Amino acid sequence: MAGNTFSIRRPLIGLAIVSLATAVLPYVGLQEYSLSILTLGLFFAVYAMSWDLLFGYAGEANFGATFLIGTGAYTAALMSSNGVATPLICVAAGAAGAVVAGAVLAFPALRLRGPYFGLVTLVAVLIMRQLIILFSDKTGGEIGVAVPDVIAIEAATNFHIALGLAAVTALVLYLLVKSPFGLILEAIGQDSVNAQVLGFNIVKYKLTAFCISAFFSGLAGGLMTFYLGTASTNVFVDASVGVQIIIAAIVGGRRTVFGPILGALFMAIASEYLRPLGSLSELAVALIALIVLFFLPGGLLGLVRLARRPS
Amino acid sequence: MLIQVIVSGLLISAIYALATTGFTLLYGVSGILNLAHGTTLAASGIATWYLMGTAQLNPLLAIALGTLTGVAIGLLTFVLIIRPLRTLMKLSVADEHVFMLVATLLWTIILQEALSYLFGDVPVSVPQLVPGIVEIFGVRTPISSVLVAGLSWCVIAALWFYVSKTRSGQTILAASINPKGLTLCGVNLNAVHIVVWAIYGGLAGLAGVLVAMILGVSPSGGLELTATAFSIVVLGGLGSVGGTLIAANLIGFIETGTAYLISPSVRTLPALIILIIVLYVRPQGLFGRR
Repeated sequence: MAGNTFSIRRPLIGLAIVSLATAVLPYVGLQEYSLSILTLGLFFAVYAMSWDLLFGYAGEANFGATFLIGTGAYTAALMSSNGVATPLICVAAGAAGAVVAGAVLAFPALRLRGPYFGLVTLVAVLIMRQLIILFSDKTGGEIGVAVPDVIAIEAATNFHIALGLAAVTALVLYLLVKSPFGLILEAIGQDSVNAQVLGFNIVKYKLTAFCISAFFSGLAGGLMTFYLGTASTNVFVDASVGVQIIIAAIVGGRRTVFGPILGALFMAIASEYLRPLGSLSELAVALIALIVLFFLPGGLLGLVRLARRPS
Repeated sequence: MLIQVIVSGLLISAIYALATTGFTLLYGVSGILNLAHGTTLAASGIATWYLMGTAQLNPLLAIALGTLTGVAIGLLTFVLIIRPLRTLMKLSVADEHVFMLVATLLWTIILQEALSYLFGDVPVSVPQLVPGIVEIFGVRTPISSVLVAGLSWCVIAALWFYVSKTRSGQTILAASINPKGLTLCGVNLNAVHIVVWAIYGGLAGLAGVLVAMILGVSPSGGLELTATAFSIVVLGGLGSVGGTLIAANLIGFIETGTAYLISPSVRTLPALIILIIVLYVRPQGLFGRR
């Protein structure tokens, strides 16, 4: 199926149409407030897609998504607040920083089997958080670093930046997972022993996947910092934010690339509507995710496919 | 100063040891890393705090009910999360462990938000059982803390006795070594799992009450407790109860030393860094089997 050009081209045409259709939303009377929710949802979509490259394809549960996102966000924020560079260079540096941090974390961690990888990534977030609080004179501690510059002020422009980022991420990741590299990665994720027997270097493939995931996470982290105007631990370096990303990816559909976008937007909109419930809203979202995990392992996107192709 | 670190270290380590034996037992027998472990501890602690404070129950009764809360949550975790995951989804072994981690993580959020909805997301501590202070080598220590440490070691000893000397305990041990063989011997594996989860819940429940007494607990602090438990268990070697006990003392002392020598706010940092180093050098932990 993967070798069939049709099956690759059709989702991409779909992606282009949906992106363009979404891009006109600000001009058809969507309010700024709704736009800001969608903007955050799209940044979230990038995190979820990047996370699913590891979970869905490489078969590793990375609980340290916010370690990568946080590295991108804080690198960008610290460079900008110290007046080192213009926003775009800061964002690029954030993405590069996240790749370096990801490689440093993953290279030794990927030698670990089973749950140890997940543990190391979880611990990395906790360590980073403590370090940020420890060096609060430079990092602003729990309050965070304010960035003096902005990339864009208008809500519509920011929305387009987030949309463009999400669309590019989806495009790159989709082409990647359909490429020979992606197929080998998927094979490794599903049966690492057999993949190893076939002569594939598991660590090399997983490390590459981790770096790609880190790149997009860091890039989105940096851009989101400039959108929010501040980098703080509760937004960027928090295990529970990592959990939200996981929920988004699972609800949307594991191993589908596009599913996590749906999941992230669903989460952004659902948490907005469930806001009156207070702390019960997170409970409700977690419960939905659990039910989806059990009964719809393919997620929302899996539901669409199921409806289209009854077997 | 040094003596002070040693005494507080010993007390905290005893609680850590109790709080992690359940976790490691569960992994040893069922191969499950329960990420909701810390939240189970927090729930039991908060239940006891509520029963003792607001409901004005007899302290011992409140502690017993708090422990039962742990048992109830343990059994709920098994019935609502673990068993459906294994029976509903036909997962490969590689998939099962990531799904198990994700499912228990979601369960953590559900428990945590339910707790903060019911009781508010504030740190609470269970009042000391007995008032008064005793001097150990010149270090003024609450009698209650000494009692708690003693109780922890007694429960661990009782667990050891149960697993190694009783028939039911031997069955659990057998289930951890060769579940298929045990089924062939005519033992109902499902019943064994229920017993294990009940024991796990009891251990976690009591530990939660004691943690709440010494350190205090909060709904959102559960995940951090899980991380500490996880570090201890991995440091000692997954599934090795002896290794866990040694690692609990190691981490307990390192944390106490850090709190005294550097600052209480970075208490958990060195232990986490040591954990990562150990994992890189010796992934199976200090006393783990490959």
